[in-house]
Amino acid sequence: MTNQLTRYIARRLLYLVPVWLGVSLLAFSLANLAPGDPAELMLVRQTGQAPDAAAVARLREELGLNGPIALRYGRWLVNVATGDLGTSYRTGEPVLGLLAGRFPSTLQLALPALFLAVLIAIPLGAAAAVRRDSLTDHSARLVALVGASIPGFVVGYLLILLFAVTLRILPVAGSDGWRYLVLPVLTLGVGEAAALVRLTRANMLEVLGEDYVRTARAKGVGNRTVLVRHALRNALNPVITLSAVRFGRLLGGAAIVETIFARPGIGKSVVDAIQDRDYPVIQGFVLFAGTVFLLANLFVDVLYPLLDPRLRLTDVRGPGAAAS
Amino acid sequence: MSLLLAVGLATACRPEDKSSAASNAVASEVQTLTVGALEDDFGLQLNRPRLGIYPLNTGICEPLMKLSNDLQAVPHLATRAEYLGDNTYRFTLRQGVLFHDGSPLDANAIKFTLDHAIRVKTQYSFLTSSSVRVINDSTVDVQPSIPNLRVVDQLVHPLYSAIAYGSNPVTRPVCTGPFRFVEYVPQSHITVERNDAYWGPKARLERITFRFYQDENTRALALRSGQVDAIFDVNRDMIADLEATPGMKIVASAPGSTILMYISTRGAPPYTRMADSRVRRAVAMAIDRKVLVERVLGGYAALVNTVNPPSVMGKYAATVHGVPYDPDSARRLLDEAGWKLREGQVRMKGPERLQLVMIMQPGNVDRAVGEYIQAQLAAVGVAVQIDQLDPGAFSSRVNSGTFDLDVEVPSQNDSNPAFLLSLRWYSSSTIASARFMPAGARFDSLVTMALRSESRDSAQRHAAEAMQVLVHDEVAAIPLAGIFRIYAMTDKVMGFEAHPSRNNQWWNTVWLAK
Repeated sequence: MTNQLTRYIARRLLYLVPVWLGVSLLAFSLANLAPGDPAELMLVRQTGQAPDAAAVARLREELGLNGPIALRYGRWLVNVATGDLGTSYRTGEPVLGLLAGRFPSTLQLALPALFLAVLIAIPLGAAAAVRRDSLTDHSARLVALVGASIPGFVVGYLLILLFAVTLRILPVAGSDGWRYLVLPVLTLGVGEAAALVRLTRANMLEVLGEDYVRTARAKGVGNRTVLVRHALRNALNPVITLSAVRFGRLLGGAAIVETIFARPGIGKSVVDAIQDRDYPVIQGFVLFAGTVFLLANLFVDVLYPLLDPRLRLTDVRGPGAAAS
Repeated sequence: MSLLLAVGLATACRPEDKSSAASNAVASEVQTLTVGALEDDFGLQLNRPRLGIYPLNTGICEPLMKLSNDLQAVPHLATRAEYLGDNTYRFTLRQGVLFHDGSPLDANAIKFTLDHAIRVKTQYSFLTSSSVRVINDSTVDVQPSIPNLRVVDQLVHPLYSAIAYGSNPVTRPVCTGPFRFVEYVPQSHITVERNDAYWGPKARLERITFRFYQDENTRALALRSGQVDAIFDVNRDMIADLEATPGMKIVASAPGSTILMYISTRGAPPYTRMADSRVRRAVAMAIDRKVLVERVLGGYAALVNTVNPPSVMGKYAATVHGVPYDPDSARRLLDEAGWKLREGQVRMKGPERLQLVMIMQPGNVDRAVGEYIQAQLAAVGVAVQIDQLDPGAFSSRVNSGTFDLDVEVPSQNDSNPAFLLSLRWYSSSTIASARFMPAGARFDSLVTMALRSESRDSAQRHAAEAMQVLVHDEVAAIPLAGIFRIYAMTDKVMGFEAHPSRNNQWWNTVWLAK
């Protein structure tokens, strides 16, 4: 099993190379083909006015923006292969350092938000399924629907109004300590929980109708054991998959929450970079986000056999192959 | 969202917010003010040598000449600026001024300052490393590389603030201002403290912390929560609620900028409809600017005819007359130009519809302004397509002349009355978009005269004449409304004078009532 798993992980890591190449081409093309000139935008930021055309031309030269796009892509790719993602036009920082510097701030939000979401979603979704069509179920579904329907930024502002403006027990925005984390984590966590509640409920309902659950009950297995060991455990696979996907999304997609709560995370940096056509940061981020996403999925695939004994008995060739 | 916040702000008012009138309260000598500022731009590579100076002016550094609240250049670190002829100005420095490190302000420091400003690519003053000559300890001559008699007006910009000889403004700006640098935490805050050795009236606040909030709603909420005492650039939609909130007040400056409609008089095909001056005039006549100011902008704006703040033009601002609102004449002009209303709501010339493309940047101009213009022009049979663009796409469109109308809010941060004229429409302008917006030979000649006028009065007169050509004779631009710079603060904040230029906002007169 261990050897199989190692081979599987190695093979999946190898698959990442062509995917990375595709992502890098996409990132480079999207960034460079968007209308707008990074040199011009940098100078507008510097003076607050339309810049001198000669100054723009000089800066383009300094930034190496005048060569053919294919040549620039090739040069960038070679640098990436050596671990150099380039230098941010906006801040002058190495992109790798910039992403690494902002990553902890984003992780500080994403991890507890996901933890909170799972903490809310699994018991709530499971309870809703077990007590189907009861008040608990209707309430859980309503909460999930509302949570999924309200945009994250509205939730953020409402939480600020309640906890910071009216009750004055938490700060509005900033990053000077744990108290500043509460509202953005809640904002992100509520949205994530809403999606997970619905999925947990749906999976639990499906699993509760399976033959092996009925068999367990017929054998006199206790209700608690049936629910936790047989039903919930099997219902969790898709929830874990979705959680991993949402985690990858949280790392890159917390931009709005980071802006509202004035947190210097990756998402906000990337939005700023897109606005200013900071190509190296955009490209570096897409590559980074793609990698995180792929690794998160790999992690989930590796986790499956631990949760589902049926997967241990098959040759691990990927979740699709194993489950079939 | 604004409505939501407005309701939230209104419901969030608490009885203890009702502070008593603080106008006669006694100021404490130990006071700390926290200001909610805009996003942190000091981290940008090109702004790093301007820490605490620009774009956020924290009051640690000062220029030779200061931009007064009525946008005039007044002596500050220089007590005198005199024209010597041959494109050269002589500045006499104030005596007894010390930098924060105790070193005296002298001519070498000014040369170091201006050379530094030149190195960090400050533009439009046409200064080079050979432009600044030290005459003696207290005298400096400045000679731009090309004829530029507006250099005194330009040197009021915070970018030309004096820095101590040999100091490194990237890490620790050492200047002469009423406050001195304490710390900068990127993306979080910058803190300054009172300079007790200041040469002028000492600041009343002991310390100011400027906290960065990129989101304007968050800034307003930070004020309501008590996290900050004052905020910059209040969203117009939130003014009424903040104003009605006990313990809060709104402070507005005189008009500091103009919502301006640039017109592509020589746009790239197919953006050629505005080449016809009759169409341009009809567009100007179709817009009721009074309603725009009073209703759309909620009264926090002024009716202006100048493309820059009227005060920078002095008494000559009154000589600039815009095109009056006259929709019937607009319809006649469009008929004359061959754009006829047949069936439908939009005028046609042969198979062509009279549809104009108007570009805007969200966050720069209220969307309501664009929609108002769209409705006004529809009433005379002109269709307007609004393209909301991000900064990159926007500059790309402006620089390629691929628009008919462009609504922006250009800022004026110096006292040069010909600044915007020479930048955006002048045929000698070096910016990429100028070739798509020429305003004619007469305009060019008047701008040249304004730039070469020795006296400020003459510069203002010529600039006003050029502006009259621009907005009335040629209708190459339409000033839509003068807008105020709006601050909100708690009633405890006293002595605050809102400056029309955000970059020139000073805090040394501010104090906190008990």
